Parts: sequence; structure tokens; C-alpha cells
Amino acid sequence: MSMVLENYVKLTAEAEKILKLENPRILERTITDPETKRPKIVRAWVADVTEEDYAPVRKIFSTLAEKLAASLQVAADAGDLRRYRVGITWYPRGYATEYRMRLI
Amino acid sequence: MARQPYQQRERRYVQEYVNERFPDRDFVLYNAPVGPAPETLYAAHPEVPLEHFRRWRLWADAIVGWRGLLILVEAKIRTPKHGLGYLLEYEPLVKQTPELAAYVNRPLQLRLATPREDPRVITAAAAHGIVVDIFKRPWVDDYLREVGLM
Repeated sequence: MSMVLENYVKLTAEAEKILKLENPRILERTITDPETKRPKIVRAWVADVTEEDYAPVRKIFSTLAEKLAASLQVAADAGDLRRYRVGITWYPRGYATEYRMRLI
Repeated sequence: MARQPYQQRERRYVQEYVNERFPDRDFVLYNAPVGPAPETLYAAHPEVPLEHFRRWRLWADAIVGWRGLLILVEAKIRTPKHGLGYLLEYEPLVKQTPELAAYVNRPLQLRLATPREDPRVITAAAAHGIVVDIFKRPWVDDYLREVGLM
């Protein structure tokens, strides 16, 4: 029997999710490539979530989106993740998918 | 020779720019959509598929609330002249952006952040009321040297 060990934050299309993020890191994950159907190793940007929409939680936020990951890492390096909450809005558009990031 | 992996340099650049220039900002949005919602555009132009407007929405590098102003920022490391076109395209759309409805009464300032001081771009920007802010970082200089632009 499998057991869910971690609770991941799920983004909803075009609805801002406000998160307090800690302990950012890069993890390698094995996923199934949606085109080739073969396993491949990708690098995910991951952080612990201590607040979700202002409610205390213990969750994980993880993204493979390169541009969002870059923005979050810059915010982490600048200390912005300690100072601010992060509002992430997902605009799913296939290959043109975008993420807005707001520091609150 | 293998190509180097693509790096999101302008993401880093615009965030470092905003942190440096607007530490006392009210808010900042990065990669912010501008213009009417796709559904609104489709209602006005039903001859164009809705998917077109959804897929090709326009995205500003940053929008900053600062000292009563709304500042639209485009950051261009290599080609500052391209930023002028984006800013002029986005300017009239800001007031039509549903996500910015709470801020439309603020005066709008257009800003181009770039490390490259090109007098032709600065002159053209001035003619359109665009502020060009020359913003340099050592890692950007290294990159510009690497690609032969410095």
C-alpha cells in the first residue's frame, strides 16, 4: 500500500496562491516525458510551505517551470522569500504557459 | 561544441533592478499580464479564435507600485531598443488590465532598465517620455563580454 508522505501545493488556473516559502532547494526528479513516454531526470525548484493563503500549513511547493524557478531563486538569493509572501498565478497556455509572481 | 544551457538572465536582472531602485515599493508584480482579459478581446474580435488571445497575452517584466506611481518596467540586457517597443505597446493596455484595476488611478511611468548606454535609444525614449535607467551589475558585464557586446 502506498502512503502519501508529502502534501504538495496545487495551483489553480488564473487564481493567485499566496505562499510563505522556506528552505528553497533544487531536487532531481524522474518524470515520464509526456512526448516520448520515457522516464527522464529533471531538476525541480522546491521549497517548504509554511503558509498557504495566510493559513499555517506544512506542505511542499515544487515547480519544473524554468522561468518561475528562476524568479523564485532570485527572490531566495535576495532574501525576498524571508521578507515577503509570494503570490503565484498560473496562466496555463500549453507551451506558452506563464506564471506571474507577486511579492507581498 | 555543445550549446550552453539557457539561463533566465533577464529574470534575475529585473528582480535585482527592482530591489535596488525601489526598496520601499508598495508592491511588485513580475511577469505580469497586461491588456484586457482574453475573453474580452474575443468578444470584441470574434473573428479571431479565443485561443489566440489566451496564448498570446502580453507580459510585462515588472509592474511596481512606488510612491503613488505605477511603474511599468521592461528590462533588456542585450537589445535595449526592443524594450521601447514593448513599453509603448503596453502603455495604453495597462488601464485595461483587470489584474491592475485597483491601481489604474495612479500616474503611469514607463521605465527601460538596461546596462547598455545607447544614446540613440535614450534619445528615442525621451521623445516618448520613457525613463531609461542604466543599471549595471558585474555578472551582466561578464555576460556582455562573453557574447562580445562589451
